[in-house]
Amino acid sequence: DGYARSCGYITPESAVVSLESSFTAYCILSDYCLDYGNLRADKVIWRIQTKVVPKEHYSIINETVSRVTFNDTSILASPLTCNILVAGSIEQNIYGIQVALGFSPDKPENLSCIVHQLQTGRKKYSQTCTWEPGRYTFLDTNYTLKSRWPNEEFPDCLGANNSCTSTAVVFFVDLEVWVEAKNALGIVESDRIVFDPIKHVKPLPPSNLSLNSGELPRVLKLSWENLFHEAPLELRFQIRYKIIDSINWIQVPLEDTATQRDSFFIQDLRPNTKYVFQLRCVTSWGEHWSDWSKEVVGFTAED
Amino acid sequence: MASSERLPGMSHHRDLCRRTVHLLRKMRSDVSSLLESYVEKQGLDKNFNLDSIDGVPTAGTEQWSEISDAERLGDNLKAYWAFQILLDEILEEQRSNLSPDDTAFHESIQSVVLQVSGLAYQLEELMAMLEHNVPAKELGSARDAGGKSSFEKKMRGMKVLQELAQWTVRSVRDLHHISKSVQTGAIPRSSRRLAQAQKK
Repeated sequence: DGYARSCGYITPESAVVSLESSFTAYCILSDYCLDYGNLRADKVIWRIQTKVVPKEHYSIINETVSRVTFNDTSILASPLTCNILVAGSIEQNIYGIQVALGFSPDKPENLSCIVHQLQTGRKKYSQTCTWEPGRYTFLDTNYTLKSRWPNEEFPDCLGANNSCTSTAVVFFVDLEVWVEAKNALGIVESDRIVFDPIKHVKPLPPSNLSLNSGELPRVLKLSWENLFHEAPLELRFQIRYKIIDSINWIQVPLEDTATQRDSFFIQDLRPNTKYVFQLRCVTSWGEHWSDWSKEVVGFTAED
Repeated sequence: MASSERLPGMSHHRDLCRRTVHLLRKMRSDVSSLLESYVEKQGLDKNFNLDSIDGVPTAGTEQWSEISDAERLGDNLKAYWAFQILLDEILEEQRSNLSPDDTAFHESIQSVVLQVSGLAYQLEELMAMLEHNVPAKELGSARDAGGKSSFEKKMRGMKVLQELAQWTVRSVRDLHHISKSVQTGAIPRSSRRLAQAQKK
């Protein structure tokens, strides 16, 4: 038939082997091999790559089947080959298999999600969920973020091994989210979290900051534009400022800026001095502060 | 589904009612924006006065103050189930025929489709919580719009969005009405009418 008839084969054909359990393979000689070369299972030699596997790993099942077992699979590598001594001294390869070693996936932990307001359109949001995948598995492992309402399953989100981003965001409706981790050695799900995406929004920082000194030498008025508008939520703010070239920021007490606004008067400043200001915001239902805004620079009036 | 973070002390259905009203208000804003861009992109005139169109639930009703809470929620739920199908049809028509390249526009329609689906789920949950019978969901299939001209499809889409916008307003009123009757512990109107019939 044009091909050299193989003298046998190994089962399993190819193996994904856990580093936490034993592994057994069988080399099964064909009758053809028996008749032609009087080759018996006791003549089989197992090799890991080029190294001979110590005899104590072998056992003869019958005259055509040799079995090899590894309790410590960490010594395994590809290929694992079954070879046979022909005419007492020539070693002939019978068959070889690829072996992949690794771990089944750990249960993903610490699943959490943030809804980012996008620059591209202020009514546009994307939801990024992150989790800890656990130990490295050494194997191709898929992490799938699943989300649902009881009446609607959302499309699977296939991302990296520790995060996934989706644009299907609906506020004011509880969403159930979990992660499924899967590879050749196993499948496991994270705990499920249920949350209303509106409570996990990270708003865009205020923009178009401006400073107005007016007549009072120790007061500056900071004004800005708010980019997050989703009734009934309001924004709270954190303002910080410093004298130019200083490294110490001064924080405005949070309670002074705890209500919706687009400007604030800062007092007790030094006259005729150059200041730098920044601010950030958080929604009234959320806990994720925006990034800090761009800086704005201004002078206090002379005394 | 386990419940999420809720304001302390607030009962589950009051929180659900409150968030559903917020969702409706957001939908109202998003649907109005969508309607505006729909009219512009389809080259229509927003002042076209359209009669009722078969299959499109109309928000107006004379018996608004007579119907029971169960009927009120049931009517809302059936309407939004219908809108789910209608909006899917509009999205399909836009993707396949009327504006195949305008993916941003399709996304804004898809976003409203998701909101309607979320609203339907939340109305269902509210009905179950208030121990009302959830109406059977008629598995309406997408209409065969094969015979409709592009203009008719566009007009129908506009009517759907107009009625949806109206429904979001009506639904807020409905939910306020239901919240009040739940707070005052008023027994559902249907049970009261039954009690009166038995006295005669």
